[in-house]
Amino acid sequence: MTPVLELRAVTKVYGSGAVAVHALTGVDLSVDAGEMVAVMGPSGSGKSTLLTIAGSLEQPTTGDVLVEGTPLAGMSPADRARLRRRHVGFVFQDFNLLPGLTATENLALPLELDGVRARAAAAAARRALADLGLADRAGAYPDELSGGQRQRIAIGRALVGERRLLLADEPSGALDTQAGESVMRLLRNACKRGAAAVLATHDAQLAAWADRVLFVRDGVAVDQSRPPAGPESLLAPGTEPPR
Amino acid sequence: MTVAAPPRVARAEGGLPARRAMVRWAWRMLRREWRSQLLVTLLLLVAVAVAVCGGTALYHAPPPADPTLGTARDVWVLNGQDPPAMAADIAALRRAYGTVDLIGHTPQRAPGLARPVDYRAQPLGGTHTRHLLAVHRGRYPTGATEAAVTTGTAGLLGVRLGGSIALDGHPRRIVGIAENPSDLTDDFVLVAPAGGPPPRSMSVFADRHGREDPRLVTVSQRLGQGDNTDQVVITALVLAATTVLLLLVAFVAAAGFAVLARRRLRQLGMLAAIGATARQVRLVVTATGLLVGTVAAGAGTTLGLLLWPLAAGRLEPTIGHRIDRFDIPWHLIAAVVVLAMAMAAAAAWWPARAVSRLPVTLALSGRPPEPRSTHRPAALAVFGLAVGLGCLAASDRRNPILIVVGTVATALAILFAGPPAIRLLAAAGARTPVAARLALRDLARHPARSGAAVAAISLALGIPVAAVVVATAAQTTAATGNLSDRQVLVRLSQPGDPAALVPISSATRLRELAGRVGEMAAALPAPTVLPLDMAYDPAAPPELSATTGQPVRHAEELGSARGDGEFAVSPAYLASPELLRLAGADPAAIGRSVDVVTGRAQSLVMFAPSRSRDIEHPPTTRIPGPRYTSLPDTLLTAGGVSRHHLVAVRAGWLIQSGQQLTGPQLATARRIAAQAGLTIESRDSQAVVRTVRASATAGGLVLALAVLAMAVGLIRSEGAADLRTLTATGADAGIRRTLTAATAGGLALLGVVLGTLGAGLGLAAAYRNDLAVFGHVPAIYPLIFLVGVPSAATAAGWLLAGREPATIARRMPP
Repeated sequence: MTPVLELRAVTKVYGSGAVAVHALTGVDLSVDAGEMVAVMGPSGSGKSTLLTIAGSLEQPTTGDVLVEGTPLAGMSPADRARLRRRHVGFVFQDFNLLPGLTATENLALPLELDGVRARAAAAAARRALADLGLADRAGAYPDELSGGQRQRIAIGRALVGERRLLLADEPSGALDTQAGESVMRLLRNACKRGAAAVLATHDAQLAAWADRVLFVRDGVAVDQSRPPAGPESLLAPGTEPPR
Repeated sequence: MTVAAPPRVARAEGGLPARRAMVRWAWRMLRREWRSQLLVTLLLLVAVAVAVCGGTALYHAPPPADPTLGTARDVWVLNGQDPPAMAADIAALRRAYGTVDLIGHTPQRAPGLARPVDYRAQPLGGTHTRHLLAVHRGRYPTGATEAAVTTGTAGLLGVRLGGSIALDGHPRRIVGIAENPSDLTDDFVLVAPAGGPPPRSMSVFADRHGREDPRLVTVSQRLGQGDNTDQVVITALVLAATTVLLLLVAFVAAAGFAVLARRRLRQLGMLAAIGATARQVRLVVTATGLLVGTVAAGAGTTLGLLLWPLAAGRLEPTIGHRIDRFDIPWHLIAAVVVLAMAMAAAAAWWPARAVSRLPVTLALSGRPPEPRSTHRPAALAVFGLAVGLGCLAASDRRNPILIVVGTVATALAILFAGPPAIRLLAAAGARTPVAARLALRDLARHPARSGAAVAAISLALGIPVAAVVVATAAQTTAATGNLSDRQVLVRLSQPGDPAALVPISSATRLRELAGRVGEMAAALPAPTVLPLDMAYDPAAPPELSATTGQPVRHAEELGSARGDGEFAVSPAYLASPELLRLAGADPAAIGRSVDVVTGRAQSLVMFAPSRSRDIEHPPTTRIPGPRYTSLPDTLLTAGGVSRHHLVAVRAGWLIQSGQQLTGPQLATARRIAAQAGLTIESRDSQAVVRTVRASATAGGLVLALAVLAMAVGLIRSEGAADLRTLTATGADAGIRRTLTAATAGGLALLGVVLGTLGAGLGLAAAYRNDLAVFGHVPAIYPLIFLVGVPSAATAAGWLLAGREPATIARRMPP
């Protein structure tokens, strides 16, 4: 089976000469459908860079990135934009929804950008909102939603359409524990339905939700393993990470 | 949760749905953040209102119909001495050309007036003359016992509505106040055609459509007019002026949209992250510009149209004709609206392009890009300046194409010089106190908005600088103008008549007039009086003056083809040795076979009423021509007069004083001329030039300071976060004031230097043979521009800044 995301010896260097910064060095990663991988490491270790390269927002200095078997190298900017519209969904920590657009319109945006007519895109967005349990917030603007609701809508937007790769950068970093768990459950459910997710975090409790953890330090993947058992005990009583 | 994608259009860019989504978001953001676009919208709105109101006013500057010919293409002035013959001619014209309109004229002498009063028999309405008569108070006169007068005639004769007038010996009650709506200075007494005195002359209005005239026996003049192209020229002028005005506004708007794009950087990065292409990101910002332009154009047009009736009321006395308030030039307004929208969209396009080229990760982080190298704009500025100056120097102030290309290239050079100049200023301010240093460095860090602001200020100041120098050149060049400041031209022809229509005067009358001219000269130091004679064809019958109805001789005229099938006609004077020397010719060098001596470059045609054909290319000698435009530049030699069987007639005198004429001397000359029924011309007053210079300076300063205020407002509002940090670290109001003052002063200084330098270099190239012009510019103007503007900007920045940042650092929520 073709992995949804594959990074082969990816290196990213910013600047050159004496001021060169090696953000990533020879990182290999393969994520299959239905799998959630957490990328852990301290600030500045290269977690976000790995996600932006995986999502075609940046290009690696060396190495290959393949999304659903398609290499990103050599793609034009327009092709990369189309790839993001159709295959990749992003969720960021604190800045996800566009102000001025309602929850429905934010959800429908990737579809409309891809040429789906507004009415059909809105219908799909409303179905997605119902799945998220936010049908009653369809007409609300981002500044009328709570942080948790915003992140859930962002996850919904990242998956609307037929996208199977979800890249989340500290998706619950700005949320309280309960809202954070709700977001993680949503991500986990998405993976259950066949999506592949890569989650950048420095929080071991969140990493416990993942199938696999990639540890990154100074741009180098130092270890890949099952998530530590310890964090599970930190979860709220009666809650278990859905494997 | 995965929701299957509905059917999509098979296009990489997402097609219409994607574009609609982008425009929808731009509109929503404009509605949410309209306050941040208020300055730009207001500026555009005012520019559109000024363009609509001013353009409509300019469109109405020429009268809707020729003040004499109305809308007729042809007018025959028939001699009324033989009424049956005149009636036969009118019938012949009616048979030949269909609908004709008639206006009868009977000049009547009035006590105390040098010119006779025209009793005009004219019906209301008329196919060709409907624009030549209106009764705005009272009513149209009927019968032989009623008349109407114009306001001017009422004032001259001391009569009023309800009073009586009897210049022709028949008392008539004044029942109305009439006017010629196409010429408010046209004074007459209106009588009903059936009830007036027998007309001395009859004007017959018709359209000949190129056909031959029927046989007429009483015609004394035939006037004609071609297609009126005034409105086309005015439309072009209005659009050109509007383009320049909107260009200035567009630069400020570009700075505003750069700030907007900067504020939305993270949102635009997010848009790109979820799959928007660079073109779609660009569309969001450009659509914002277009929407701002649409709102401003709509509101500005409404405001301009609301102001128009007020402006029209004030305009009528100045332009001398009535204006139909409801005659709105919609095509012109539509063009202004489209131009405003296009300019706003174009202003937004550049920041849109810049933001769409940013790496998505950089945009998501909200960090501005590194300032780009200024080498390229500097090189472009040097290239543009070289091209511009070269074209202006080569134009010799005559070739319009080279002048336009040179001006545009020089203006572009100023624009490109902005970013490197800003960088230089920031470097120069490296050792200044922290607030000034921060302000200047901020300008260099954000060249998109500061460069646009400097460009707008430079152009706003460059235009008045150029106007001041050109106006000064027009004022102080002794060799230009209609006459020198020591000359007075006295003519026998009446005001309103062409110079070639010389009243028929007896020898006694001519001696009397010569005596009055001698009186004028006697009041001057070391005077010389030069008689000016013309020549007429004795076989041609006398004509009637269209303005006074007096018999006149139509002297010989020479025409030069204008290129549109019409001729530019000028009267020919007889070549005396003095006139030849005045025109720059050596009398001894004129050959005997020469008929015409002229300073004109074009081929000439001699018109002669009695000859079957005009004489093309008469034997001609070219001379440099006189220094002044009203002096005779085309002369008939004695040989030419003899060969063409012409007869000399006294047409006027040229009086030259040994010293510059004073106001009282000119007043005396005017008084004597008015008493004698002569027309005089002296050097044009320079008041217009002074007004142009002062107005250009004041207008330019106001515009530049307004542009500056908006640019500083935009830049400082964007720097509110810095201000908050500064305040948090202990900066007081003085620091905050210095920050704004340094921003305003720096932008003003750069604008003044670049605008003055660009305009100065361009003018130096254009006036390269007459650089002394620059020495005549009054010192107050360079002082106002170079010292006043930066000082005023700095002072205003200091005075208006200093508020607590909390009130100005508020941002829209993400």
